[in-house]
Amino acid sequence: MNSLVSPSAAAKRRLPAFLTHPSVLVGGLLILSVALMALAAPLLGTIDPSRIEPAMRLKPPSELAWFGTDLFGRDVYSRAVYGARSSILIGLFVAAAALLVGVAIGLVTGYFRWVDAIVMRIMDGLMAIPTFLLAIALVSLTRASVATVVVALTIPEIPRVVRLVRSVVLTVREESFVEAAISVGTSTPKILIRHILPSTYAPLMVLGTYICASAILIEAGLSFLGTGLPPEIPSWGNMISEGRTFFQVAPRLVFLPSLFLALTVLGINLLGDGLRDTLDPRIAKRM
Amino acid sequence: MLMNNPPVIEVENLAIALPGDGDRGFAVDHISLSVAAGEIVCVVGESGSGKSVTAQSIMGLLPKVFPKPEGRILFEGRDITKATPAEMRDLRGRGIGMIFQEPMTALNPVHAVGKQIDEVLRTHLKLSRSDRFARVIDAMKEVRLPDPERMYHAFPHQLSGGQRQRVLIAAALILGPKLLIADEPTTALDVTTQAQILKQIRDLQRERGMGVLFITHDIGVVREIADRVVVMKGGKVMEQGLAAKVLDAPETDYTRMLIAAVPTLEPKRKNHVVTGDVAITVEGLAKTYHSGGLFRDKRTVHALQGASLTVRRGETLGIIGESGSGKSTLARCITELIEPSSGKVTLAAGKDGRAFRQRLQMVFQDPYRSLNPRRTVGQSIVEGPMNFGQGKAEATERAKELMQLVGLEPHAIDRFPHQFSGGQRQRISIARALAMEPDILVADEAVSALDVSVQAQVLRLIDDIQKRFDLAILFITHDLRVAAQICDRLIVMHRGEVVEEGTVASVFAAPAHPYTRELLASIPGRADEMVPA
Repeated sequence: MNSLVSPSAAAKRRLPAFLTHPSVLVGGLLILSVALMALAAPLLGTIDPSRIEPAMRLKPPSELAWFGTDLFGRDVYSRAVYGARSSILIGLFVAAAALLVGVAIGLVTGYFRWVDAIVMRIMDGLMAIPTFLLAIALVSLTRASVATVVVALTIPEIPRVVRLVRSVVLTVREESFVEAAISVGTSTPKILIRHILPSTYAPLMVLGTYICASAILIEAGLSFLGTGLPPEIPSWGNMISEGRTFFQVAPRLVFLPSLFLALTVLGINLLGDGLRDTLDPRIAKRM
Repeated sequence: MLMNNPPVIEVENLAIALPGDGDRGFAVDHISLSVAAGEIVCVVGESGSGKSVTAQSIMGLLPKVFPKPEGRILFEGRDITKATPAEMRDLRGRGIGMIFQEPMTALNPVHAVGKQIDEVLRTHLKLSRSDRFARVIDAMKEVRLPDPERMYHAFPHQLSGGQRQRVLIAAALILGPKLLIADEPTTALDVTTQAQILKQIRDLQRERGMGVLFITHDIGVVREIADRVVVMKGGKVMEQGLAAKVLDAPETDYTRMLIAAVPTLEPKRKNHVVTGDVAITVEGLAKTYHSGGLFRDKRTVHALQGASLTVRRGETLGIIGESGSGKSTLARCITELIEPSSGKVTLAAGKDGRAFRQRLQMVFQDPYRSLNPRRTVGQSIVEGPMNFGQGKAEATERAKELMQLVGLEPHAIDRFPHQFSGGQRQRISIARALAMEPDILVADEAVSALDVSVQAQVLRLIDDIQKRFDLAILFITHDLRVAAQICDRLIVMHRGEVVEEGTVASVFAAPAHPYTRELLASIPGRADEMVPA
């Protein structure tokens, strides 16, 4: 019977579809190009993005500086290319950290009822605070650095991961293959990791891409407000924030970082949408 | 007399191609059948025989994955394969009514059941609100729903399974269709409810003189209800004719096999003497659930009350009951999957101090869900022994032996569950249980999800391994025919309590409790069989 084909079998047959899905392809290409740009930044005709040249302040595009220079005489092009590094690093770190912590908490809360009652109330509390405000509050408690920004962006994302993982655990733990594993004496940690965790992979892949995109956006937002990365680190948010003041005289200052930011987030979201469509259309509801 | 009536529906040379790369070219392979007014035609076949697809194509409800069917479907002489969607919509309800297998999912959970019957009237007729109400109440009375005025406002979850199916029958029949298509309408119901619903369909069909196309996998149900029978296999009609002829003098081997595979009520183990030691003793096991809490009323449900039993090695104890009787709760308490509220389970003193989980194993109901779809069957089989310290190589070697023992290829341990059929998966579940070398096996509805022919094979396998390993078996089932095949003794459960206990032969011949009598009387197709004294 076709309807009884197991989910993993269906996923296997869909693997080619998931690679040929148009939005996965376009999104993947966009992200790949930004990632390559970040990796190969020194080879792309850039100079030191932090070198200050007071004599070159606010110069228009030229042979030396393709997109001109900013208020401190730094090369806009080089800063935008290097900015990809901080954005992508922060996106990846935040997604990885939120998934790691969220999965651990989600597995435990989904499986043990008494933990569930307590932990989920904490998660509800965290979710009630707007991500942006929570991140600003967390950053302003400490000195701005990459690490604090990552932590500040990770904490608001954790409840989303916990809820998703918990919902999967709640359904899977009632499956009779879990009961069968219990009745052959499999220990609880093994049941969680071996029998329940794999069911969360597909929805987590999708959620991970969204977290990555939102982390990049919020980091840019924090930097724009001046509560993000310290100004000496080139980041798209910093550049847009500084360029904003001179927008009427030199719009080119915000053009390049904004374009990169938009393309990166678009790429990640396209990838996430494509993955969701091909892996499991029902995930959208759970989130 | 029946054959002289004009046909309500005639299916001529109907062929529906299977989409994609299926195991055969056609879901329905050039079949012809007809239903006359005033007769019940049963289409019988195992899963995948194409019987449901046939019904769907008559209703014009074929899933979109199928291409347009070839052949003709004549409703009162008019070819409905050429009807427009609007004509078909009118025909459904007015001309053809349909009832489905799962009454819970066929009803909308957020609307009162009366409104759902009313919807048929609103769609097809222009009547005043009070006229419609009166007709709905009449229809509900006709299917003998109790207190129809009140039940009109009830929601599906407040009704029992049998009542829900009655609501669907009322909705299907309210416009007086000439043909009723019933697709496994009693499969999801308990046997006593099934008997009532079958009688009801029969009565209504006689009163109204309508034709009924009844789809089922259960030969017992066919015996109860059919005037004529169509046997299908692999999309083809194997045989059709009057019920008495097809059932008592079948022409094809397949029909003979199908009929022979239905277990008889003759207790197979009448002369089986159990001499083994007591393997497991259960005393006063009870399970009480409390719901509600801080902001809600507290409710207490006694799922299981004071169940006691013993099973000896080499003996099979059947636990019989309908859904909600507490038999699965009993099994789960015994296997320590849930903690009982009181009572205790004692295993006989083990010779080598092996753990509880090694000595007592379980085979689950649904072979599609009891194996982890992401792990190879080999991984599933060796998991238990490796939990208790067996080396991987040794456990894998043993898994191969067990695969052979349950009738599968040893090298198939590297495959995934979805590559096996339901019966094969149940064999794998048995192999997994045997890998622990248990003394006691608990089989919870282990053959209920299987086709009868496969069921017979798996029962033989369980019988065989019991002899070979001297197992004590607790066999939980709702099916008394299956119980007669494999059990030495029975306990009958009703509303969480054990109401009767005894050997299979004595329970069948002289049931003491009224509920047991009702259960026995409800077995479909029983009239044609002698229950041995």
